Amino acid sequence: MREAELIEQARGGSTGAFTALVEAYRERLFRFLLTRCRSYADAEDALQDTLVNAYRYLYSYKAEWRFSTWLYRIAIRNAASQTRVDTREAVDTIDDGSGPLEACIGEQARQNVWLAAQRILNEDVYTAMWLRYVEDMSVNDIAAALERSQSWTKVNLLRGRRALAAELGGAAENKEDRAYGDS
Amino acid sequence: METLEERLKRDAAAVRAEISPELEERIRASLENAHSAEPASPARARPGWFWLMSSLTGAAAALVIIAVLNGQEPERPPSVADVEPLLRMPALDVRPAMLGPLEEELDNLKKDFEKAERVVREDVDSLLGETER
Repeated sequence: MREAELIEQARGGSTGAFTALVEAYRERLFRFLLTRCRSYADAEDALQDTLVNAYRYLYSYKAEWRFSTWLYRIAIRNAASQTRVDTREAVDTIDDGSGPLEACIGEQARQNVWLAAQRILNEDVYTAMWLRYVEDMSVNDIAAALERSQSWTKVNLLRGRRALAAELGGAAENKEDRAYGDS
Repeated sequence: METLEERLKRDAAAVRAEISPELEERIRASLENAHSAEPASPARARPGWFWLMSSLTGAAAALVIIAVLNGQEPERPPSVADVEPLLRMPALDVRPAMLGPLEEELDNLKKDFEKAERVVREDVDSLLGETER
């Protein structure tokens, strides 16, 4: 069934249609939230909140937006609110020095480039990089999801790439870096 | 050689993100209990003729009010003569006192004029008499 039809049915109150609608995005969203939240439990809560909010506010979704962009926008806000809650509750939690991303990539992949990205990029640049290179979003969609300008998005994607390339010892510098800006 | 873009994709895929059955159940239960936050529609949609009739009724009411107001006798402001004076002044005949000196002055001027005219006439007569002689 087409996405537009599922959206219409979900707006009519069909949770089944909504579940089918977000089926393709749930795991991708969860992966993204795991990299943005401070704990596995927070990422789970953020995913739950994202899907429930998307269902509740589906009436405000406009067809001219890509559904994935709209969904990520909600997820980014939920991740940010989880981070704020975490900051307030930090004194009550035990910090073992590792986030959910380290736990989820396994011992054999400790050189994961996203760990380096977490270390050296701020949250918005990190998210822009994720949406661009993992979700294959256009610059326009990333700007919409982050509520930033297209100029900011382009400049910070380039900076993010350069910072990561420098962090990885220049190994990833390639001709595509020079050709960046096609979106 | 692997590009940065390829590595970003590969490493993202290495992040395990399985959704546990417990989380599935939580999400399902939350969705079942969630209600749309859609704001209540402000007003039921009305047919097009409703607004036409509403406009015509309003215009007719305005015309009736204008006609009624125009039909009423306009209220005139009271004239000065109709107004009862707050303090009635005693009748004072100031005419003789004010005009007496002026009338006297006018009489004197007339006499001066007659006198001057007589003198001039006498001068003219004397000049004419000398000329004839």
